[in-house]
Amino acid sequence: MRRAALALATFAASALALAFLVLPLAALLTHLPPGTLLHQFSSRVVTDALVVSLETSAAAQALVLALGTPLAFVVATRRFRGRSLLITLIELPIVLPPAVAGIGLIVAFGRVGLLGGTFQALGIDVSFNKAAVVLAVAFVSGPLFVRFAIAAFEAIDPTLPAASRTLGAGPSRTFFRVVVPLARSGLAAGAALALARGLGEFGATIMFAGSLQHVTQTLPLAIYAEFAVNLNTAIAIGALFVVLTGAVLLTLRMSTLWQSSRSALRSRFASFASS
Amino acid sequence: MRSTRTRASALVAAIAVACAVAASTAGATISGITVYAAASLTNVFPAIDSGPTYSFGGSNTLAAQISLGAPADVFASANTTIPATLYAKGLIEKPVNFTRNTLVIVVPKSNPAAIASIYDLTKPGVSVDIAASGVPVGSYTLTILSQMNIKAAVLKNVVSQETDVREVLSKVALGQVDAGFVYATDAQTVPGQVTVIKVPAWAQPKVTYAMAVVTKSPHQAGAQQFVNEVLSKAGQAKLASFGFLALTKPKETIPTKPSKQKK
Amino acid sequence: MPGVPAAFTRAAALRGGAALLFAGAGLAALAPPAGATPPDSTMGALPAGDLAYVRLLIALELLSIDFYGHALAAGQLDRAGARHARLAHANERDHYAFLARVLVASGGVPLTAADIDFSYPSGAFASASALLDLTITLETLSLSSHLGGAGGVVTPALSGSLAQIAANEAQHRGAFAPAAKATLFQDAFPAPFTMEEASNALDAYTS
Repeated sequence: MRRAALALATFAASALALAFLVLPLAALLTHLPPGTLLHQFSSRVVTDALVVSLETSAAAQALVLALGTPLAFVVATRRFRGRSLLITLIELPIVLPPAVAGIGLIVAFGRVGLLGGTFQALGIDVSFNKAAVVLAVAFVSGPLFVRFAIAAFEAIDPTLPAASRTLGAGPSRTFFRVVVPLARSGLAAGAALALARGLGEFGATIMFAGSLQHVTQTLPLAIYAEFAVNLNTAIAIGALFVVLTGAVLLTLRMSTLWQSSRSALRSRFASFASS
Repeated sequence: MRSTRTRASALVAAIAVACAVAASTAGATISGITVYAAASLTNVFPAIDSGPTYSFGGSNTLAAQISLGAPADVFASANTTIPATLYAKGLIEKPVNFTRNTLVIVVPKSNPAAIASIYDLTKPGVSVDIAASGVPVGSYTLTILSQMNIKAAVLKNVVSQETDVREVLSKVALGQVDAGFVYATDAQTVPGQVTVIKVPAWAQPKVTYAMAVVTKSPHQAGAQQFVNEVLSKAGQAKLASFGFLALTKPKETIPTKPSKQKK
Repeated sequence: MPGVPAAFTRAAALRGGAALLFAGAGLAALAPPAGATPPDSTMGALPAGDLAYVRLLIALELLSIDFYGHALAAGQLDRAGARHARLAHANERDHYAFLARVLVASGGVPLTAADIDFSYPSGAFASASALLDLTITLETLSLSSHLGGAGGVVTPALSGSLAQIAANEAQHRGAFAPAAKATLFQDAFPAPFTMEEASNALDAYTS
């Protein structure tokens, strides 16, 4: 009797939690009749925002992967004084309120910021343009990736890369052919989360890069702008967002499953071949 | 025994009367109501009455929130068209005009782009910040630019469209942009950080603020009391002290004839 | 009939009638001569650039009207000066009425005296010389601005009308120049103002 009650309570709590998480997403997708919803997508505001979001997120993601991977590898494989402090610093932007991140970017890279004069002298323009959006997105999403990447690199059995070196592979070959494949699920998870987080960035972007249609107005900024103008458009962008982010995370999940099934296949083959 | 009770009740009555008198005088605080007001009223409304809970923002955003059922008791907008729309939908009572304002251009104190007049905003390379066209100040800005026939040239220099006027002010005060369009009253709130450039008087639009009680408000009496407070002489004086313009211009005095002087 | 003075004879009536006739003719003489009817303001919807000019010049007319009102009230002008000021005041009102009609025809709402406040240099109305100097300054500003407008608008009818107004402002300037001891004329081609110059010059007189 007790066990049945417990099972029922567990089931009820789970159902409630699931409903709470799924309901807003479902409501976004179903609030407008399909015809109206699709019609909103033909609006210039929506298409411009989609283009800006995709371009800037792709560039930010490339930046994060290119710079975040070596950083994570160095931190994961070396032990030095102040390592834990460094890791805390790297992870700080994850918990920083986006508005604070925005102000931080302004006083660091903005026209009146620390590097403002330097940038102007070098001819680098990061005010109110796509580059500014890329910086804002990379700042808030990069640490997410780095944290996952550090964990992924740390989880690698150190004897494997060592074995690769012993067998004659150079450091870069070891890194790309041994270390990265071994860490790939953690790296992929970090990359996907960073991408999703970056797509959704609002506070830092609107403060540092401003909001101008077709230039810096990403999907979240467009929702904010359209809310007071045309609620249906805001809802449509929200629905688009659910689909987009869902696709990113789903791709991650599918690729993880595919990888694990592949490795399972390979190990079975290996055991078959060795028998 | 009876005299003590009489004295006690008399004391209570006296206190009650004193409280009522205090509450009815200007500067009283109305508690328990929520006022949704245009961002440019951020400093002056709490100075008129510190009691209500305030929510400041772009008038169009606030109106959208009210349409979606936000718990506002009073709505104050920086123009008359947004309240008229809400009134037509039956969401607010008949709006009343309560003050006027003018637009100015603000530049950072250092004036990096050396802006001296509105025409300098058409020069290439100048970064201008304005509010979105749905926000009253943004719409007024576009009116000015159209009336002066410099809209296309200035819009080329616009780098961002904000959702309320204080965001424009912040970006200019921070020095992030070369110039922005705000109300004259906003410029007064950050005196040392911005320089004001006049907008030509012949292009100034008529900026009139209107407010009304929200029909679904459960605090009709308190809401109406707030509206009356703003319209009262004390409220209007407070608005004037913050730089807002009176609803009607005072009668102009023509200089009287001095004694005739033979040339 | 009771109350009618006994002296109300036919002769008196005739004399009164003649006096009235005479006065009427005198009034007619004061009226503007034929050929001063305002130009046709039915130009239809004007392009944005022309409308911007019209708005600016409307404000300028309001400045002139306001100024001449103060000038006449200040009592600093002698009889000739006051007469010129009265005629100029009437001219400026006609200019304003014309430009306002043009703007309304394009769907705009013209500025009125209640919408705009003017301020003048201190002491401008305190002495005759200061007043006359300001008169010359404002009429020159008016002339240059309307000339600029005549050259700057694209609608031919409007351009012609603005040239007429500019000519009138030049006549005003000429009327006051001797008393103000200002140069009567020098430039064969008086310089027109760009819209920016006119607007900046007008800014000095608006609060």
